[in-house]
Amino acid sequence: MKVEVNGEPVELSAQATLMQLLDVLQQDLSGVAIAVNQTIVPQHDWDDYLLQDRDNIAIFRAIAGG
Amino acid sequence: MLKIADKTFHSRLFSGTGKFADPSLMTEAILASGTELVTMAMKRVDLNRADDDILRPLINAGVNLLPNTSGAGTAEEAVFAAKLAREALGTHWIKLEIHPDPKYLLPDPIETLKAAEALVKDGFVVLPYIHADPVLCKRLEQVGCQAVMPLGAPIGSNKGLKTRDFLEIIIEQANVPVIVDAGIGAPSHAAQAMELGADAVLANTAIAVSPSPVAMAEAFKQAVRAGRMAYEAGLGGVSQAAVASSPLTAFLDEPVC
Repeated sequence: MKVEVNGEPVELSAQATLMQLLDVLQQDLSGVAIAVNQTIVPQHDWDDYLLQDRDNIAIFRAIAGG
Repeated sequence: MLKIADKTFHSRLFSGTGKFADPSLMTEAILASGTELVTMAMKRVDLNRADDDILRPLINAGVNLLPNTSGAGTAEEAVFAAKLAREALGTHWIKLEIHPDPKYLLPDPIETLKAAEALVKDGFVVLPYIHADPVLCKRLEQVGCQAVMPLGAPIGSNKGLKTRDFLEIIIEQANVPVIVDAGIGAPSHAAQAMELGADAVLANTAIAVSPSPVAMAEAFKQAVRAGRMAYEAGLGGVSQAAVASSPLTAFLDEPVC
């Protein structure tokens, strides 16, 4: 299946969880928040959250700022 | 000691984390400033570029984190950004900033009030960045904001307390801590804000872009302390005419023998 992550298409095997997607993307997960289809998914749900074809995933990170 | 919501602070200097040349310089400057509360922003990750890891050094430095909603142009976007920050950093403290105009980055008062109300209801400790508007400060206080953050001058402008007269009114009327934010470009500006009776100041650009950020952080630390001490001691009155400091004896008028 195909999902979109921060505007970029990502190909996944069927039945991938959010955590599996993050493994594929090799993102550092500290200070990260994720929304799927504009709804925030709490960190403790990432392991069990099953992605659907054409889901829109947005990954945010805390960065330097004033 | 300064108390905001359930936290007490020994230092009345808050610091931003933006614009430092690198994370280690940022950490050193933050440690030198003595600050116990630092701001952060939320950003959509660029999958092809790793961001500097600043979170770990900040956690190791033992400072409290105050994420902001920078980038939000509406109340709705700010509420979303605040919830993302709560997830990402595990804090319900939020510096609410909504500035739709990219040139002056001036905060939108109507959207800010709307977002503040929603966020307070959702359990956030809300510190709104606003213009130095005493009426707005009261309204934000009424909806449950735990502090107000009026600006001295536009963000990053280093112009100092251009809003001084209105900051004085805000400080006089506020029942929540007043943190002067934005425009503070020199330690003397920070000291001035503290002398006026501000509860704290937030500095970022002035420290981060100095050629010696660590020394500048120390200078800000001392200025904030000095300003607070002067406020607590009580400043003398101002008058147009001179008021003699030495006894006015007559001998200076007499001819020298």
